[in-house]
Amino acid sequence: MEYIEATRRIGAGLVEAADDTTAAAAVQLAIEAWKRLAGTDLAWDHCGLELLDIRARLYSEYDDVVVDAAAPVRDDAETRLAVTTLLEQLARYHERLAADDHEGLARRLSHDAGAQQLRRAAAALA
Amino acid sequence: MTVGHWYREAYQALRVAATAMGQRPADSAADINAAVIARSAVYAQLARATELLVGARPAAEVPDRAGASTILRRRGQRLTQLYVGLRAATIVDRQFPPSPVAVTAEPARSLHRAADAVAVIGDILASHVPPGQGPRTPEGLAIRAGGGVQSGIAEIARLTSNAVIVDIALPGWLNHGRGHLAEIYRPAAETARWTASSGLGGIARELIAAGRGQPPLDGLDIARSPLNPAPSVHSVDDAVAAMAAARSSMWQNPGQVTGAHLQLGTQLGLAVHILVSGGAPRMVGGWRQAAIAAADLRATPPVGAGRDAAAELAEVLRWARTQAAVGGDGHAQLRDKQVVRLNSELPFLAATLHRGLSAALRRGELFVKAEVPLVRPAGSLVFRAAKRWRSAASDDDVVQDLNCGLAQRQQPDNDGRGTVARAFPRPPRPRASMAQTPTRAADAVPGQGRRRTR
Repeated sequence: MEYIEATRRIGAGLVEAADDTTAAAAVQLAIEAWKRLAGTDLAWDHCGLELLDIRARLYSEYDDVVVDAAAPVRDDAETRLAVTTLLEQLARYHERLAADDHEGLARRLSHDAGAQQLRRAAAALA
Repeated sequence: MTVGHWYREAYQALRVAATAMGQRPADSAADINAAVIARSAVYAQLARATELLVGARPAAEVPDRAGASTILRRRGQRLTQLYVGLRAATIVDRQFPPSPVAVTAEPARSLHRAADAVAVIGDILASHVPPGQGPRTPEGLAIRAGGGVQSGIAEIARLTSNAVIVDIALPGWLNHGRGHLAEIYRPAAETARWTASSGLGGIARELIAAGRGQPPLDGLDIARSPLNPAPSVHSVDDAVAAMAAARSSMWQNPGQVTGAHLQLGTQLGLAVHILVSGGAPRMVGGWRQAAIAAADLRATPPVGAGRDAAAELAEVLRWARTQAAVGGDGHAQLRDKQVVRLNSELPFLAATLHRGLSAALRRGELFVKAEVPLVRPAGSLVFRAAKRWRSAASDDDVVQDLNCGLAQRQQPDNDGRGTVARAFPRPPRPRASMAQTPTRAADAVPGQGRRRTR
């Protein structure tokens, strides 16, 4: 599957029936874009640093998640839009968890921080 | 506060003391005692700082004033003469009791301030090059190899020159006081007259001239150990202090470096690089490559001092990431000098991580994904692979990328020119074949010395 199509599918999954595996897949996809596309634009590095921190803090148990998709090939407007849309969807997923009373306070705070970081990461690329 | 700060503090205090001596005669015995004691302390602390800088006493025996006069008159090593002069200047043929209360009158107050400032310079030096021990930090290693010693001696000589100006004024200050005090303090006046006429000032001027153009020790700060809990980072000063504490600890104990240090350290390198580059990317590749590679490693968690060092790195990373964030305008808020200070930490950090990586590999404490066929459930886009981890080896692509990225970053690219060369006389270098290593694992050609792990 093409990278951009994969971001759409994972993004839709985050909106419809989100779970941590889908969310971890979104993080993996976004990190992959940083790895492949970061050239002279430091915006990708802003984004990448936030994503690495989120992955280490919230998704350390999901480092075996694999997305069966091709790597992104070029840093163009379409790819950036796909990544920022995915990050915004992931941010909303974390916001929902942060608002969930069933989660412990530390976890909710962590989700809230994650949502803010994801918005910063998306803003860097926008 | 750095050596440069305390140097300026001492310089200023000595000038104030000398001026005060010309303005107001000596009054109470308590004030004079305090001034005489503080004056000797200034010379003693300058001698101590000299010992710390050169790593030994420049003269094994310190003669009395007559012997010192002979040494200072003859042709010889200026450093030895400075040291002998400083030690001889502390000799006063009578002990004066210290005041039981804090003295607030000039010039005693300023002389006390100067002695304290020089003592702090000595403490900072001792934290890097403790007397009778090997160097504790990369900076200490460089100082022991001679780096910054000449300029450091020049600064001590400049303070000595100012102390001599105080001694020129001291006998007059004492004589203008009440008559009986002049007799009581005659030994102090004699010492001051000796110092003023000993030629110490001329020797100091020669050493000041010899130190011109040498790299200064101004930016040297106290070498503290990583703290638990890690102090908050709110400024460049905090960030530099925390980075220095963490990397000095890792430098001293490469055996404690784990994957967490490599991950946090490389991300920090990238974040600081972004921050100091102010949107103009220069050689970002090394840190980015290293951060990407380190993120694919797994390792045993840090313990003890290693955990504290990791916590300090994490706190600086949090600060740097926030500063570098879009809209944070972090670079604009940093002054040029601050940018230089932050930037100059990066080559040290890279070299320390590089050294730690080698040690961690030797211990077999880093892990990479083992090559196992992934079984994908039919029709699923996302799946969890049953993964195995194995000990990382030096020819793994992840390790080579990390190695290569860190090796690149040990070369200062602008303002920090030459820093690493001074601090690390024999820095670790990548193998020749690694210089051509492709950036990404996906670009690696199978069978050409890189084992795919991702």
